[in-house]
Amino acid sequence: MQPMHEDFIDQEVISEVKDVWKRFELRIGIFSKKTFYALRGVSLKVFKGETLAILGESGCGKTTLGRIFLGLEEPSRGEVYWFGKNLKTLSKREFKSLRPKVQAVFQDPTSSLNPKMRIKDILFEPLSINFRITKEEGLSQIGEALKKVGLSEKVLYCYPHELSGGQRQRVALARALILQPKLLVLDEPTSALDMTIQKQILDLLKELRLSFQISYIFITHSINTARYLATRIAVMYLGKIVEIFPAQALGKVPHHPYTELLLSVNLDPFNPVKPNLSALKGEPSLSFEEVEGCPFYPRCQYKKTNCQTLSPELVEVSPGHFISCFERI
Amino acid sequence: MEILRVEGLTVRNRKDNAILLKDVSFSFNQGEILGILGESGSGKSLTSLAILGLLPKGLIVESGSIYYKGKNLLSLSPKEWEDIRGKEISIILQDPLTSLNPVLTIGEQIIEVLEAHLGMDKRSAWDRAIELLSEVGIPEPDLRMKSYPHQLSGGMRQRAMIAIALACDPTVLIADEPTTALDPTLQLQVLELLKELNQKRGLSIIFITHDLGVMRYIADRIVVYYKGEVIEVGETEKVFSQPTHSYTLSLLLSYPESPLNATHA
Repeated sequence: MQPMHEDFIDQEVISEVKDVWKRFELRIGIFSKKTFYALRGVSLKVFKGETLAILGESGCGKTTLGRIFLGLEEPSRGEVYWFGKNLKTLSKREFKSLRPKVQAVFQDPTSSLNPKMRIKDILFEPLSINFRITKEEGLSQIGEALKKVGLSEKVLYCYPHELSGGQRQRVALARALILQPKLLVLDEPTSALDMTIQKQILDLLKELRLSFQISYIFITHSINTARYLATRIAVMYLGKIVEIFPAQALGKVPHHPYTELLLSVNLDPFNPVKPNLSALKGEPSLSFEEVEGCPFYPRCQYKKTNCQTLSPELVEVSPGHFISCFERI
Repeated sequence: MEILRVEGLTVRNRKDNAILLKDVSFSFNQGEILGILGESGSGKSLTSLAILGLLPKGLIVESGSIYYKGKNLLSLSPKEWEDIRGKEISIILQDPLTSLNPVLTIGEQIIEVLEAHLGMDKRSAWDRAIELLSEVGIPEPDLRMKSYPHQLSGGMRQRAMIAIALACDPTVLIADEPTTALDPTLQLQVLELLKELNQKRGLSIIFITHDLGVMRYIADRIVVYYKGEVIEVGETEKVFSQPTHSYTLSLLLSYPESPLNATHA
């Protein structure tokens, strides 16, 4: 399939998950357990140089999917590939050599940076773990990483609490970039920040991707930030991907009913429209069982009887645009 | 008709002498939804705490006054506060999971308010509580009365919070980022509920948020805060189309696809 081209995005697959399932056991009381599926058969490729947004509401499994891409979580079923290599069959040594290439930035820099370490040491730690280099060699790389994210060397001897929220998120970004990754998983990197700072970080991310040709997996619940940053968008609902499309197509093509719902409740301050309230009923329920049929069935306004029993597959309806909905294919 | 007026309110932190609110003034009309917009730490929540007489220890009102129906709230005795707080002016907060009591059922928490403030007996309080739950759009309210907060979804919890806040039939509701913790589909449902309460009950709402889309959707008028000061007050449409203060403009420009970017870039 053809991702939308921003000149250097190409067909090379950086990372891929194939039919990934993730099961969690929840304890209910002392003796009984309930099985809960965070991911239910997700397949997704990340191409070189693209920003793939994973869009969905809380509990849809987007963070779990991000952790699986990162290799932090093992799928209950299915395969994960980094640069064409299956993580299950990688030796420890091979895994260690690929680890620096796939890095993460999380939502809240206050909790992802160690409060007892100076910025200098926070940035040196990944270098010493992965490349075993000396402090002197490290210092020049640290300086470079700070420059990339627009921080001055003054922050080197600060502790995280002495920095502002935006500066802290820049440090978290520098820590990920210092290993020269090929893939960055960004899990809601701007939602904990003030709006003026959000914009700055989004612009910085855009710029870094273009100058270093990194691929991003951008996990977000906000259509607006996805539209701003992404080249391709995958929409998730209750552990399944329901739609994948080039970001430019957002709002311009017939979408999956769930994407349509998200678009209709998106409050745009500069284009206020009356949202479609009739489509708004209900809320997602956790998927405790391997439910049959379409996950969006209970809330869908176009549902037909067979949607309850048959599970729609992702089908390519136009180049690069996949939808799993019987109504739309 | 003006129902609340904040006049020259200045709040200082006794410890480090930092001025947290500086000469804040605005008025609030009956039946209006007034939006308070600002970034974190700009003093929006502090203002709402001052209106309820709930400023944290160590913060003192240096000067200014808050008039509610002609009375200066800042000169009330603790006894007089009881008749205002929760009864006339009520508040809902961002995260209902932390503001609801986890070990009491939703029913018990509403009944508690009805008994304490209005002196209702158990039976009529129970019936009234069910009425309130159905008014805020909770399905099967008689069953939900016996639910604990953790058994409800995020959207339902926020509705339950609103039901508690409405228990004494307040004139003013302060909503401090009530939808920030909610998913977009639930957010819109709660906003719609607040709009409906505003129209049907004539509830006056002070709505605090940093979200521009939400602000445009719900507010009639907007007060913009910056570092403890009010820098702009105006009709919603006006503030969005022709902001007068440069900070307001920079806020609007921070929206990823602000059309103002084209004209001001």
